[in-house]
Amino acid sequence: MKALSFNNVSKEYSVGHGVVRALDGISFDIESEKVTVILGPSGSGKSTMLNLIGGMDKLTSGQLMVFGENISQYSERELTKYRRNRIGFVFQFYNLIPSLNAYENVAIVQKMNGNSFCAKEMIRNVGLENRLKHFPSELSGGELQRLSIARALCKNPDILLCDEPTGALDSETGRMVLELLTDMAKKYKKTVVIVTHNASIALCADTVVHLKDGHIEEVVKNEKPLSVDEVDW
Amino acid sequence: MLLIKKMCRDLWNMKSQFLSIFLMCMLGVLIYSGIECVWYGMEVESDKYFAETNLADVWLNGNNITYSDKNRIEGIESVEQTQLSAVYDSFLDENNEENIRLIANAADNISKPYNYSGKKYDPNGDGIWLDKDYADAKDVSVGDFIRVYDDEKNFKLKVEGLVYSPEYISYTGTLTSIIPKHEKYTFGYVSLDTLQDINSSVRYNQLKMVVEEDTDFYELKTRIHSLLEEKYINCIELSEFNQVYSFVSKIQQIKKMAIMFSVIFLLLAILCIRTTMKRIVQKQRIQIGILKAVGIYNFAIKIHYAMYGFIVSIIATLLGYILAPRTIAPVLLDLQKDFYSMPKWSIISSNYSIVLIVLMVLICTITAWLSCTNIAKEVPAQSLRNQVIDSNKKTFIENIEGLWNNLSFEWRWVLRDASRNKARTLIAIVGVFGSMMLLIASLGLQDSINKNNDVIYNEQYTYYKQLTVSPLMTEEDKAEIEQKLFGDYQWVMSISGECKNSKNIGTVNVFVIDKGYYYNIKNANHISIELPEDGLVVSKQTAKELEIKKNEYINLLYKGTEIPIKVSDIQPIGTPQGLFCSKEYWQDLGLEFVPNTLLTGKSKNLSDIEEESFVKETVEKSVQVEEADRVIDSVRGVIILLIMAAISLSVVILYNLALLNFSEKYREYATLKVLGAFNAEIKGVIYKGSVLNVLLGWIIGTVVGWYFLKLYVYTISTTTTVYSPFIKVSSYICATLVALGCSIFVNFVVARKAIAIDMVESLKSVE
Repeated sequence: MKALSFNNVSKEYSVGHGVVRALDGISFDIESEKVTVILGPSGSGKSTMLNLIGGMDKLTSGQLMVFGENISQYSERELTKYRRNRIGFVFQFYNLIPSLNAYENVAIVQKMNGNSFCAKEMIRNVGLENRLKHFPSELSGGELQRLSIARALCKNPDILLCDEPTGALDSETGRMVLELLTDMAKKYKKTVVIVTHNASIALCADTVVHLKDGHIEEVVKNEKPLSVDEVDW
Repeated sequence: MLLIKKMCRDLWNMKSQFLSIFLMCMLGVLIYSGIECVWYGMEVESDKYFAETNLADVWLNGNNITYSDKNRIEGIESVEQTQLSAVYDSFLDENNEENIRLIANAADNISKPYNYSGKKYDPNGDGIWLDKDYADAKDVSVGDFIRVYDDEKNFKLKVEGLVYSPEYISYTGTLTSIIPKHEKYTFGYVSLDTLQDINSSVRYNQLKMVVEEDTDFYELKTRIHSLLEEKYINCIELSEFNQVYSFVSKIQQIKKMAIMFSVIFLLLAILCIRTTMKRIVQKQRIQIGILKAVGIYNFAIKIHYAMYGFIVSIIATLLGYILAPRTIAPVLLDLQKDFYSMPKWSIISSNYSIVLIVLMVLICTITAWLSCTNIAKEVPAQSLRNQVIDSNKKTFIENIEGLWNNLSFEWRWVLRDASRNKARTLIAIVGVFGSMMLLIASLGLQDSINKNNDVIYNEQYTYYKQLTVSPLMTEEDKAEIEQKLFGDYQWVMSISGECKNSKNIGTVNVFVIDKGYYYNIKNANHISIELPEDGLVVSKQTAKELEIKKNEYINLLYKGTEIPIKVSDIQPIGTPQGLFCSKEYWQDLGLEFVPNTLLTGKSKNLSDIEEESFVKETVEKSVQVEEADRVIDSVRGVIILLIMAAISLSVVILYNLALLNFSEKYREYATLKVLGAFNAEIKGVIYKGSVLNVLLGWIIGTVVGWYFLKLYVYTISTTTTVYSPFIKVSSYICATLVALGCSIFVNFVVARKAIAIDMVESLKSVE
């Protein structure tokens, strides 16, 4: 089943007096309950794609279908509902609220979606059950990202959208976080989209979309994705 | 040079934050300097005026004071100069409605009239040197003739000159009047010969004295009394001489007011600059690291950030200093001109304004300097790293688990945030409480004066008209009046006497009140005071001045005899100030009750009574009420100033803080938006963030505002009228609505920014 379908999607930005075409007529599909990595160097259009999938920006032309619904026609409010109910976001820099403790950071999004998982259960799943009352400033980078994953999953979204999830972590911690991410996605049957420039992550993905200068260079299907342990980081 | 460019750009980019510092500094100096220009101008001009005219320090009133008495008094060590005077009250019209006090000085050395036009005052010359304000009111010029009426006779006098008198700066003519009415109560200087032509029985009855600075007035008055014996009436020192002292105390009042306001604004400016600079420096942490990495010295970096405080505060304070004498000062000074007669009014700023400017600039600069010292101490690599926000401390509310666990996550977030940003929370509270305090003070001031007037003229005095009658009125005249008024009257005897106890001697007003229902003395709590049978009641203000205690005996000097009287009670009485006793008690003391005031209701025979020769003056209560209401005009400028300050204070400070808060939490709000929070939910968090500050500020502002009003009302109280703090419920609601309205408006403006939050910001690194 197709989770996401990009049909001739273009995105242009006005810069000064000119126009920059960040995505140029892109078409590809992302399968549901699979891990897809969008890979590319700086300026390739990764962030633009992330913004479009995340409902944070609107495309200029084309069609973006999410589980059969054309979100490119959505109003601001519909996009907010889309982000609220269907997208779980994992940030590169965790983006946890410093004044809320671990439990509160997850529980604050729990009420956003009527179909949410229990916050405490989610925190237990990411192995932070002993850190419930700790504040972000008291957690390590790996713990912060695990908490961020718990927060993203707690809403029970259709798609887990991850922006460089290991970008701010050392290799060992990054490996652990990636393992957790893929395990959790499998456990909860979530579609995972990871936007990164780290080619090593691509080896663990079911599908890898190579982006360059706003175009798709190639879409690679991994028949046998490697487990995180097997990847040479 | 590059750092200067950077500073200019930073100042421009953070203009709204710097605007609040700018406004606080400017308002602080503008208000202080504006008020200071008024009091200092009044002080300088009055000092000059008093020195030039050699204002007396002591006025001795007595009967037929001779040159021999004068010489004996001059023998007292502390007495430096003396001058005999004859003071006599007469009229300028046949109907006895225009009162004139004629003064004949034996020489022109002490309390010399200040010559405005015409000839200089000659104590032996013919003609009259007339009050300049009366001349203006009645269009009289030098060279014109006026007539002085005394008994059945009248005398034509040529106006030789127009003068101001240092002794008549605030001359109201009667105890019942608050505001000078120059066309009704005036004065003029003549020679003794001229005065004796008008009334041959007039003799010198006053001795003006200049005494040494450290004179013991208790001793001086006692010695003069023993020298003059039965001739002695009273001895008044400057602080008791209301015609002059009300002006001196007004200067002190305005001075205190200036200090009160400037302290508030100075504190707010300090808080504003501390919060803003700390935020700027924190935000530019990485920039500081870069500056250090490229080799810029720590000292240069500190100077760079100190300059932010310096530049903003110096421009703001200088602007305030320049604007003050052109804006606030003339408005406030004009209000004083109705109440006081001075030959010259000036707006002068003193060195205190300069001191305040230096102080404000220094504090702002030092605060800005201190805000970057910690970061400047770090090594560049440390500054270049993101700083982890330390948020692992519990707030005290978290200890109340029952309450805490029932709070929503948004509330927990807001409460922890407030607790961790104490300075910012404090300044937000101060912004609301400062505004609430100023609003309560400004509206309460008006209410207090109105309430005071209401109590005096509706509860204390219930008469329709007040008639001043001659003490020479016979018992038959009195009986005839009583008959004509069918019992609808009340007699009051008001005299001025010297009161003495073991510590002080002072001149006081004594009110002997006959039975009746037109004069009901009320205390500050608006409770009627019953006059005791075995003593008198002393107003709290008089008791404080003369250090009189309850149940002690004081000596009242009346008609040359010292009468011991028991002080039965001391009561906070609004107005008038003095001693109060019943006619019965007065007569029990063996003293004659000679009323000089008749209070009446509406009566068909009243116009007949007013025609009687022994009726010197009549005044309707409604006229007195109008006059009392004019006092509000004198403070209206200050009230408007306070309201404007309150509104600008709350809007500027709260906007600055709300913006600061919003920009600091921008990334968190952007994250929430990415996570799917609706704009209304983000706005809700923004509103919740201010609710607590507003609530606390409002509560503290209510309490502190009441005390500020008390202090403020106390500073505007005069020697004759003591105001009690009062605020109407409607005024309090109005103050609340304005203070809360400003906060709601500011939050509404800031919350609207939630719509435009750029979600992409949440994806960026923390910088």
